[in-house]
Amino acid sequence: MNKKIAVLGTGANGSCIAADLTNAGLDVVLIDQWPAHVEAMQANGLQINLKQGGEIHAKVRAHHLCDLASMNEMFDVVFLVAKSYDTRWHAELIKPYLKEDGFLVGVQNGMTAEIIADVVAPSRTLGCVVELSSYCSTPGEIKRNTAAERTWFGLGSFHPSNVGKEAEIEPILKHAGKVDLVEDVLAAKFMKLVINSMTLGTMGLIGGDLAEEQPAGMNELMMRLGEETLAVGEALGHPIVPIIGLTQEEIEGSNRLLQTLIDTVNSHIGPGRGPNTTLQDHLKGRLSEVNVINGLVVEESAKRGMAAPANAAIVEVTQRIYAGELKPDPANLKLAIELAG
Amino acid sequence: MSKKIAVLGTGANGSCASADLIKNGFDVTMIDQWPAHIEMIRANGLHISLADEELHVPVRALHLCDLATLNEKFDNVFLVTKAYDARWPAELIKPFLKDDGLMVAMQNAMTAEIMADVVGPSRTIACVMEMSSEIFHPGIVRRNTSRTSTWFGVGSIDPSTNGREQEIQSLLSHIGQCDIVDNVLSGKWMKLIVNTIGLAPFAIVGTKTSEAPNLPGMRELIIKIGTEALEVGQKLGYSPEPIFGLKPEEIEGTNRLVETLFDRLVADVGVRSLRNCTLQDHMKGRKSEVDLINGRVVEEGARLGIATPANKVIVDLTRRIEAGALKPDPKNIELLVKMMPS
Repeated sequence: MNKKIAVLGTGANGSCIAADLTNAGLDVVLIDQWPAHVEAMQANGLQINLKQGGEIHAKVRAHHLCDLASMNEMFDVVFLVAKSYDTRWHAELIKPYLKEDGFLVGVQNGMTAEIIADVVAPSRTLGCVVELSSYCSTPGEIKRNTAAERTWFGLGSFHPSNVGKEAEIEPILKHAGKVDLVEDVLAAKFMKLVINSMTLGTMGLIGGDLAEEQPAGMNELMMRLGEETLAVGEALGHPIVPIIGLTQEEIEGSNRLLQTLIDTVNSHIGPGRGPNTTLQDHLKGRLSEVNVINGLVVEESAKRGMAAPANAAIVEVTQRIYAGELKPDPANLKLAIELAG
Repeated sequence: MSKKIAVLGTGANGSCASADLIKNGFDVTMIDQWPAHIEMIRANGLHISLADEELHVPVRALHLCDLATLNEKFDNVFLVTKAYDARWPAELIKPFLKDDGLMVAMQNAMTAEIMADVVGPSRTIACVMEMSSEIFHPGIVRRNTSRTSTWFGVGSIDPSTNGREQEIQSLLSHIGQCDIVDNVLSGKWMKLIVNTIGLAPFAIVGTKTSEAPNLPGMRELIIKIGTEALEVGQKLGYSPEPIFGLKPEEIEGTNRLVETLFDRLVADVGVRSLRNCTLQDHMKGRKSEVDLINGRVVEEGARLGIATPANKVIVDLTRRIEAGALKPDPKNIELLVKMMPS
């Protein structure tokens, strides 16, 4: 029987995934809170422009959030691809439409898997790490930076009630990229958080591109950020695990772990990607995920009496940008370094 | 300083409330999940048809997705969504409610505790609302209850908000009569009793609130349904409370409490109400609130060992309508009477 699939949150990444699943012939509905995007998709389908050239078109079934109450459908699998700060309310919203033996999979940055489990129960939750860069500024049109063969998903269970169930989701998600089944998905998600803590807020505040040469001081700041995040991850009990396609050998005993992670991300996306997700948020005047990435590091460090001044500096400068006091600008790097002390 | 007010959920009732607040000069932001409605009221303003007034107001209206770019916080949020849409809208708005703000649960059913669980009891005020309105076209609402027959009962559910009910009363008084009630959760259960009668059963037969009671057998039926709900409520510790502006002596010592409440509802809603909210849901092919009203009575009854067969019949028939297996029709009264346990 064909599984009923929903992609909840079809911004840039959600759209890329939904287009690939739809074109693979799966039974997929797209549900999103941005009305103009939904209307464009209903009228013209979804257009994915690939950075490497070429385009994908998908005739998708797109719905507004308010349509859920009249859809009279239950889903086997829901991929939640909303911003990580929108996790809990989306999970509550979709909960009545998730089958009793269905799965809600958070394909997001940030440590959202436990939040999802708290809402829909651990037995219906699978964790997922995603490496996929894309960009949406026009309703119905997405620019996909990471090609499907470079896109990576790490999928895993983290509760005794559903060990091995990730194997049911793999055949679905593999249409959108490479899927590895990971043993410790929470550790893998934290490794992704290590990368995000180094790259998202920093590039967002200077308005930069990770693939380009960085201004003086940026590399040192990124290393400090990553070290703080790794330290609190260790305190939280997350081991260092290989993600985004790296092998155990490539990360083991490396004194260049953080640099290896950044280099790998860069090699997967390449130059000319355009603004990263946080910079897109700044440009749209929208709340970014920095509070649930760098902010999480600050919070968890404080609980354990550890210091995370570099992450606190990123949170502070990002907040000023959101408040409209600053604009993304290379000059903000000096401020961030000063604040980090 | 003018307080920043949000109305989250601006269907029929939420729109009526917003319009009266805007008319009286308050700083109101309307937020809703129905894009066509938001786009229409942004472009053309919001139109409310009352029996004696055509009210048209300009509005500030937001899609849900606009919240992430809003960068402001609200002093008061009125949640006027469907009862089954309680937890997620509360989670959605939580980051935008000031630390000393108050959120008001205006919905049918027992949603105040859910809201308190999300935003904290110290930011929650419960509200019983009696207001009837209809919306079928974006931007245009028909309000059935006049301002004098619209009633709100607001109250604290936690000592930390004692004395702050007036902050909400001063706003809601522009929309209808607003009383501060001591035992607001009991008041909400009293409203739930009225809803067990006045919503799903009348939607099953697809008739006006004023006409449904005249169908043969209907009056006996609704007494049965309401009495079950009353009994379950009493076992849950909810006391009979005067709601809808009734006086304590009007409900005290009566063995006709269910009928008294119901007659008051019919009198207030009057002949103007064409379709109650559950019938509107059926017509729109949308999920109704039955699980949180009659379904709640069945659920709590099962837990407490109280038989609730009449409410069970209502839940079952409503689910059949929602599944498309049955249509609202006056003829369904025969089915209802037949299925109803004697």
